[in-house]
This record gives sequence, C-alpha cells and structure tokens, in this order.
Amino acid sequence: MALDLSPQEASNMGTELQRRRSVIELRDVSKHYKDAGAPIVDRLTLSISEGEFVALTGPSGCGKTTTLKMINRLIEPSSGQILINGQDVGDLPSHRLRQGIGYVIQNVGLFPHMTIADNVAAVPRLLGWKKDRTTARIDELLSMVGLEPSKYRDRFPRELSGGQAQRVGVARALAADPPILLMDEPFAAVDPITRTSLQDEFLRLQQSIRKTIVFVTHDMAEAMRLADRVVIFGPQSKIAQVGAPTEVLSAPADAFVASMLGSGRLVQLLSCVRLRDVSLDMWPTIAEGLGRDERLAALSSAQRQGKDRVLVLDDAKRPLYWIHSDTTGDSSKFEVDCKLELEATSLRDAITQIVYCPHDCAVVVDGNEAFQGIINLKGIRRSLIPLAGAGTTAATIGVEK
Amino acid sequence: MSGYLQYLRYGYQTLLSESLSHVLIVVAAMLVSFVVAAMLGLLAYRRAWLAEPLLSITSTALTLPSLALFGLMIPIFGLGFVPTLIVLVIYAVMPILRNLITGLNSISPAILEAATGIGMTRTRRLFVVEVPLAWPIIVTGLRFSSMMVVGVAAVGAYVGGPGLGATLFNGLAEVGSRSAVPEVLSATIMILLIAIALDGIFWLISRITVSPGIR
Repeated sequence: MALDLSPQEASNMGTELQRRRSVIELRDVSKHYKDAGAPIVDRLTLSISEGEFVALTGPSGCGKTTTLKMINRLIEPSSGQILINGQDVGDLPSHRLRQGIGYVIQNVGLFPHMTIADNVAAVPRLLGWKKDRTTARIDELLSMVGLEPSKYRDRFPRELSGGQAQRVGVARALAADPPILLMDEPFAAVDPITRTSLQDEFLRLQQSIRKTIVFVTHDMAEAMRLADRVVIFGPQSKIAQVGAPTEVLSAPADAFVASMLGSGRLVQLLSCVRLRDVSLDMWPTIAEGLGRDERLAALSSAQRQGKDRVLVLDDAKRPLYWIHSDTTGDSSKFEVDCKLELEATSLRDAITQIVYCPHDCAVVVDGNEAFQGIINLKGIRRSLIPLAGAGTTAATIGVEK
Repeated sequence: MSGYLQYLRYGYQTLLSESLSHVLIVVAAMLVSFVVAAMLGLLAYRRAWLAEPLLSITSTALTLPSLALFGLMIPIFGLGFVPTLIVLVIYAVMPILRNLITGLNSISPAILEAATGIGMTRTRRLFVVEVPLAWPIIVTGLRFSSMMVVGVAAVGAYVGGPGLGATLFNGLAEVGSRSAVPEVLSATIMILLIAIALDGIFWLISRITVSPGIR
C-alpha cells in the first residue's frame, strides 16, 4: 500500500502511534494471600498507553491499591505478568525498577529529617547524579509545582502545609523525570478546597509533562475529573467497567457501577463534559462601528428570530458588547457579563455562570477570545439528553424521586 | 570541715587518677555496649521475631543486683578491668538496644513505603532514613545508659576494677575513722560530677547530630 503523506500528516501519525504505544501491560494478573479465600486481584488484564492518565477506582478492598503496587513490585503478583515497555518488571532488581517510576502516596511520606531540597533530590542521589545537575533540577521542580525555590529549599517538611507537602511529594516523584507516575490516593489527605486546587494544578502540570499516570482513588468524582480513562473495580475483584469518564457516566455498565456513581452521576457528567463537546447555539452578530440604520436592521432581523439583542464583534471576532433597541428609536449597548472559554469550561461551571447571569445566556469564546456561539440552560439540557443515555429516566440517571 | 580539707590535701591525687580511670572505664563500656547493641539491634531489625526475646534477656540482666553479678565474674574472669567492663556492658546494652528497637519501630509506615517506593535498597533505607529518624531516641538510650554505668562502675571496685569505687569502699570499710566520711563524700561528689558532665556531653551530641527537621 502506497502512503503519500505530507510531512505534517506523517508527523501527526508518528505522534499518534507513539501515543498509542502501550507502556504498562498487565496480563492476567492475580494476587491472593494464603489466609484469605478470595483473591484480592483476580485475573486482571489492562493495557495503558503512553501519556495516558488512568484512574483505578472502586470500593475499599477492591484491589485497586494492590494493582498499583504490583506495578512497582511493592507487592509481588501471585500469577500473571506485568510488562513495562515490553519488559517484564521482574527482570530488574526491584529497587532499580522503582528508581525509574515516580511514586506518590497518600500520606506524602516526605522524609521529615531532610530539607525540602534533600527530599526532592532523593532519587537523583540514588541514581548518582552530579551535584550541580541535582541542584538545578531541585529548583526547576520546585518552581514547576509552584513553590518558590529560594523560600522553600531549606525548609523542613513539618514547616509545610498539607497542600505544600503534597506538592513536594509530586516534585520528588518527578525528580528523575520518570516516564511513569504511580499515585496512590495522593490528594485524599488534604482539605476539600486544597484538594480541588491541587487537582487543577496537577492537571495543568500533566498537560505539559505528559506522563503515563496510574492513579488510585476511592473518590469516583476525582477519578472522573482527572483521568482520561477510568477503571472501576467491582465486587469479587473483577473490573466492572473501563472507559472514558463521559462514557462511564453516560452509560454505566451495570447496576453496581451505577450505584458507585451514585445520585451525583449527572452532576459528575456536567463536570466532565466541556463546552467543546456540545453543540453551541448561534446568535445574530454585527461588526463594530456600523451606522444606526444597519444596527437597527440587524436588531429587527434578530427580533424576527425571537431574539431581542445582537452581539457586536471586533475585527478578530472578539465579542465587545450587546446592543438592543431602546425607547429613543436607537440602540443602546450593554456589557457582555457572561463569557465562557470553550476548551476549559465544564458544563457544570457553565451552569453556575449562567444561573447568575441576568440573561440566561453565556457567550462562548475560544482561546483567542473569538466568538464561537452561545450557550444557555436549554442548550445544556438538550446536549445532556443524548449523553445521559437513550430512554433516560429520572431513576437511571440517579435523580432522587 | 578541716578534716575534709586535710584529707583532700593528701588524697586529691588518688581522687583525680581514680576519677580519670572511672571516666575511662565508663567510656570504654559505652563504646563496647553501643557496638553490641547496634549489632543486636540490626539482628532484631532483620528478624523481627528476635526483638522480643532479645529485649527480655537484656531486661532480665538489668534486674540482677550488681554486686551479685560482679561476684559471678570473679571465678570466670578474675579481678580487675575485664570483669568490670563485662558487667558494665551487660547493664548498658539494654537501654540502648530497647531505644534502638523502639526508635526504628516508631517510624511511620508511610515514610518507609515512600523510601522503598522511590527505589532505596533496604540497607540504604536503614542508614539514610531509618537511623537518622530514630536517632533522637537512640541518643536518649545512650544517655540513660551512661548515667547508669557511671553509678554501677563504682561497684566495680569490688572485683578490683578501676575507678572511684576504691576510695568509696575504703571509706565505707573504716566507718568511724577520721578519713571515712571525707573519702565517701569526695568519691560520691566526683561520681556525681562525672555523671553531670557526661549528661551534658550527650545533650550536646544530640543537639549537633539530630536533624532540626525532627527536633
């Protein structure tokens, strides 16, 4: 087969192939303890691609943490095989394996007798890095996780807040730039407000570092919020469902998954779906700087569509202000009070904004502030129906009767 | 009082040389005990089931009256420095070992998991993470042990050991004579001074060697 690709296409395909390459593979992995009857992990097969953010979630005792710890051999599997980049994890001495995998745990586990700098330098020192390389890396990482190096370098862990300690934990895991990051309930021990901001920061960080991440959490909402793909462990240590958050939320595989998602499923779906995923409504617009007659003509044509105002855009399609007809027979302006960004805004954020907006209508712009369309509560409702699944009833989407 | 000064005029040289040998045997006993306790501690660290029996044995040793223990040494090791050192080590090991084991066991599992999880070998973890974290407790054990040894060392004179015990026993043996009270008193004061100095030294060691992050 002849392939005639432009360099651009070829490189796109290259990155696509690279992205899909499986980095972590679990093949038929089981773990059982002698005394316990049922296995804690039962013939689990899972493949995780490069740069993918996978969350393992489920009730406590479902085997999610055991699965995570088998990847860096803190727990040895009873049977089955785990491969990283095609190589069996058992081939390397366990400490060598772990030096190449970032690891973040719930209680942070910073070394209290070491300064922040020494904590971050722990892995580079294991790897025998030169001193100046390590020093430079410490500063780079502290800045990356939002801690001013000159201020925090020489502090001790007890002088940090929970959120700051967790940031240092992430920096320590990233120190030697490992391609894989294992995270075990990393944000569970901090208060809800700090947790949300840590999650946001971490998502932003992941945008730039693109690590392959396996993330364990018992918090479904957290899994849905952060991960590209969610693995839900069910009873008897079997996987109940694997899929993208929107897939899982819109079509839970069975009653167990639906019950795990709970009554907040619709709300979670609102958090996962972004404005770019739904179809926006159009709205009459005109360019700025036009005369009175053109403005009035635009307004009357808008009124025929049942719309009482028109959006004025500048040359770069950036929304400037609304106009509507006033009693003097001319138009008057009023400001755009509700403007949302297409890529980053979730439906949940959009609803919150629209509810507080006097006109039940938010202007949606892209990253360059250019007008993309509008969204209102009716539009959100319309886009949710197909997502929430065909034949959706109040009961199946988890709304309390 | 004048009797006391008169005693000091003739006895100070003996007192000083006995103080010096007292300090020496205490330091020797502490060094040997630390090595023994560290080895036993390492054994208990590698084989967790050994910790309990080791602690029971060493604690039992502590309940034996020191005089009896010194007496037991005579048929085996004779008189002098060696039997004294052995008895002192038997006493000193227990507090050091107990604090070593307690210290190592008191470290949060999260810290240990983090250390292993980032790729430290067991030995590296022990020396880079566990010992430094247990160090304040270990130093407290050493400090306590040294106090005890300073006192017990005096009894070593019973088997002809070095130290201030000689003057002390001398005084006690001739109660009623003019030199009895000054001898007992000055030996006791010297033992106290040595104990205080040693305590200060351990305080200093702990200030210098314990990381400010866990002080």
